[in-house]
Amino acid sequence: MLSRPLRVWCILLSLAVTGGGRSSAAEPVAAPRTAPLALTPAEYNNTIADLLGFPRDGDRWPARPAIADTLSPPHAASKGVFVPPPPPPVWPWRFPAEPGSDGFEGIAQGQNPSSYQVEELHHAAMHFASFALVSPTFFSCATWATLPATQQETCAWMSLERFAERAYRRPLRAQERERLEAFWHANIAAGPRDQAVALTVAGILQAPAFHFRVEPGDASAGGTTAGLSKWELATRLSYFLWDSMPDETLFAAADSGQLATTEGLERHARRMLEDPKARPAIVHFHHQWLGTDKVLLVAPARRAFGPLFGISPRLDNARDDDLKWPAIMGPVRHSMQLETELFVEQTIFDGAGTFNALLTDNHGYMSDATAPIYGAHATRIPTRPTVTRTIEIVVASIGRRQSLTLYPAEFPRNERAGVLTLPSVLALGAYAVQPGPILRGKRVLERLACMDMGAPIQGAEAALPPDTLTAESTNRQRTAAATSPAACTACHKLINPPGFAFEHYDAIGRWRAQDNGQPVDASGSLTLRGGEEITFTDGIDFARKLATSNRVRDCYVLHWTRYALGNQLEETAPGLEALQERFRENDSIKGLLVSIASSDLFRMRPTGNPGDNR
Amino acid sequence: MISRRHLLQLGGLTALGAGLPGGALRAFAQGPAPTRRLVVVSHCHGWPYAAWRMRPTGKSDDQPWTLDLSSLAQSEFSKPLAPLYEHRRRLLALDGLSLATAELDTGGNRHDRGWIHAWTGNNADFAARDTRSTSASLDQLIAAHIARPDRLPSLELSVDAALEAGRPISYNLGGVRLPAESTPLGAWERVFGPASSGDAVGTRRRTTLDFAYDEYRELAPRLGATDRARLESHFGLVQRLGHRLEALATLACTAPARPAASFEKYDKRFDAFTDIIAAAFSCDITRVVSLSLGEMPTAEFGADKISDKVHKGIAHYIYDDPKKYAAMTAYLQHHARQVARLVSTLEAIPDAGGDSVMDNTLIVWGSELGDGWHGYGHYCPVLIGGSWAFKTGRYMYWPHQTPAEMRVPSQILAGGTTRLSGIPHQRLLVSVAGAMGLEVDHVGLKHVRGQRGDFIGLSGPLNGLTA
Repeated sequence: MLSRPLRVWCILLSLAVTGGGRSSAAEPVAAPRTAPLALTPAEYNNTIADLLGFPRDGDRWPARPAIADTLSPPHAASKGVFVPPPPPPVWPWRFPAEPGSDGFEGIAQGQNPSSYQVEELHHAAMHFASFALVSPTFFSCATWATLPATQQETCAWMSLERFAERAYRRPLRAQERERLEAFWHANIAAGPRDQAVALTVAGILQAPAFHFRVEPGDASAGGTTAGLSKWELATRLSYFLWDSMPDETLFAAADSGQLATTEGLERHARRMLEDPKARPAIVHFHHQWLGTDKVLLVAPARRAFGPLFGISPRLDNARDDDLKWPAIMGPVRHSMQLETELFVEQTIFDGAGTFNALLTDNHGYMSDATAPIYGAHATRIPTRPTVTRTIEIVVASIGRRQSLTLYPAEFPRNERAGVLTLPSVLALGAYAVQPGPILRGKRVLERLACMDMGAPIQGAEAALPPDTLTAESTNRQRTAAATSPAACTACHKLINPPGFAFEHYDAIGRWRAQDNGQPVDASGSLTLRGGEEITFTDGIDFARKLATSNRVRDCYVLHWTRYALGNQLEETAPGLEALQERFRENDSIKGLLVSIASSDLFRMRPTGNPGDNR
Repeated sequence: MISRRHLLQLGGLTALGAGLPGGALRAFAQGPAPTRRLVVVSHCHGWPYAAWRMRPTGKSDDQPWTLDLSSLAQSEFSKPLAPLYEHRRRLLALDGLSLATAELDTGGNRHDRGWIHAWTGNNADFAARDTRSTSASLDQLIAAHIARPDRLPSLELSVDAALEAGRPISYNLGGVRLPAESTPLGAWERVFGPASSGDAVGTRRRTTLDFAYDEYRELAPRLGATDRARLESHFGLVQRLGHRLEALATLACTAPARPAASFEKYDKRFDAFTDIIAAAFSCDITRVVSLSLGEMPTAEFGADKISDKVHKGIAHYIYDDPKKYAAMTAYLQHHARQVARLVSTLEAIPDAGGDSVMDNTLIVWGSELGDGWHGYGHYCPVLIGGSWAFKTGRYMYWPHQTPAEMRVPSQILAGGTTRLSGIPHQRLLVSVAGAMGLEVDHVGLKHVRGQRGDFIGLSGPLNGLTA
């Protein structure tokens, strides 16, 4: 760890070298070296679907081919008390979550392989490999299964070669081709042809060129930076905007040199953002940014919210299992998740497309499940189409599927403003009974203002006020009292105000005018790092001011740039400032993504350090 | 390397009892540190607490106390645990714990929720097509820590009324239920099969790992040091997985005879699993086993005249009908008899340094409920072995002082809810992890809040186990 003066000196030196953090014509600015990135669980599953030509919906995949049971025997399901669970879907594969970095996956600093993960990758490769035999895109010839033996082998090899190039996202090197061919011949010699095809595919799916994005770069240019090769750039672009491999158009663009220019990169980034694959990828980023990828685990208490949903706060018969509350909360959780996804997607792709709208827009979605949370003030918009999805929930140990319809809605402007007042975000910032101003405040500081607050001091959790229905004061008063000791104030003078801003929302995200019989006080002020001061009357006012804050917009750019590069960039990284300045001015989220994709940070890599490849 | 053709096969070990041929089954030569092993046993429907507990005169319910089991006569010993009396020097019976966090969780039904909480210490994942945990179970955490890289990390077994898939007590590091092997033949195939049957497809599966590793090896010289180190950490594990599959396919081990395809009786299946566990431990094929005990036919513990179903015929009515309470006592006693046979079998296998395999094994025996009424209030696990870490031969009692409300039948307490619970069992999970060399501050949840909002810490081991 560098001492502070030394770090300052290093930053100054780097600024001097790079022209104050801006790209110069003489020497492009490269991001710090990024170690090879492994495909994240989402990237892996999307890539498999795209490689094999199947939709990103396991229900629409074909059944497991018979050969799959030989190569990758299905596990017998364990049994609950009533019935065994339904078999897992053939796609996606459920991998262990990445440890992550700052809440994001796909960042080099948050990827640490484990033996369990490697075993799962092996099982997944064996499972998906057999689907090559029924893939609409795998074989380069029609009717492979009925060809004569020699023609089958020829066709299979050509298909494998093409598959490997798509899986490795670049042409095969001569020696790679030789090794693959030798592996194929060994498999052919050892067993039936369909097994040989599947085993060879399984080998490809475990190879480093598939599972890792290795970026040796194009060192021919010399200097302290080098451009990524055309194939590396296409791959980086597609995982940034699609969470998946390049399509044929992008491969062709890379091959013909179209990605070598800023204009070419911008053109393709714009094309990719218009592709439906961009939508879930951009939503996926926002789930990680807001922490709403965990919303299916929120657990508001029946004793606090049962009556809101029309049931008693306690079980009628103490011996019974609680069948009602899980049946209510399952759809509520899914609805919260889908409302978040639809809000983010429509704001960015179909609405204003601005950061300001992301933090202030009062339109969104609701369902019958979440209608009690929004109350009578929400207005459905019948002129806009509804969205119906299938959800899965467990009640009394029996898993079931049901549909959930979400309605477009407009919410009162003094009650809802953008992502920070979504019930998903608010319920994640809460305990079972009471809202959690500390959880909410910390999220604003860390995720929106890039102010890392560190871990709480020992015993901090135990010092919080009881999470109880019966209280003598407001939640704000209790939290303020609990965090008033001297050991707490240094951090909580920063954490509490942005948390108190959302005291108009209870633990499930319902707007309230009063807390414990007293009017809610959601006012406060906050000084962001860099000196920007924000004074607000409530959460709505706060969200609007955050939306125009330079610090907050810069932070959003920093998160996106880190995500794009897979690297936990320092705030002072050269090249960031130009992206941030542009975003402050034009406020376009898609514009920001195009700017990142065409920046030197994105397409250049440093040379001459110990991580360099040859 | 000894070829699979040299596998020696013995008759059933349990059938031979303590009279094993000298040295026929002997643990592999060990290094200086003994090999520790873990067995997690989970039966269904909790404990008939009043029959289970031991209350020597002079002991107050208001204060914690411990009892030296060696001083106890058989008649003073817990009736359901009676078959373990002969092993009492190895026992730690724990009275005063609860599954408080299962009571505070809201998903699934109380059995499924109980399995997750009992063995992962964590909440259920409500929103999926099957009930999942939000973290790994104790056996899997420990397996990840102590497994030999070239052997099976763990073995999941289940004994049930029919040859059904097992009750879910093992959850992988992603929180997903692990399937349990319910037939002795299936378990035998998993443990000894690769070495005895020469699975050709299995061999070819391994070649895919070899291919991937060779691709890395070809790539490595072209990488800089940082990139190489990063890929090495991944492909080193790929290589290890390949080695493990190969080692399992070629290991030398004195295996029990290949079991029959089916066993009529629950008891016989338990004994067949006991043989497999004993051989797997003695050959160091695995160091962690979970054994999930499902429905036992009532005829096997003499309750068939009361009902033909333990769950819905007996367990639900223990507070309504004394005969059914007595039947659940007999049911638990029968399980204790089975566990005692497992202990005796492991005791009969010599280990390094003059110990027996049992001397280096810890059996943790728990359940998914506190009682057959679906209560979580009295959680009564028994530890057997683990004397390298615990002071065994004791019964330990703690009064219920944790601020979590637990549901109880109104026959026990008017109103049906206690204001306090026993110590949340997560503390025991931490103790067991520590005994197995996995030093962690918590297993599963770190803290929860009771129904009245009180903070309940779940970190740290149980006090007094090692004293």
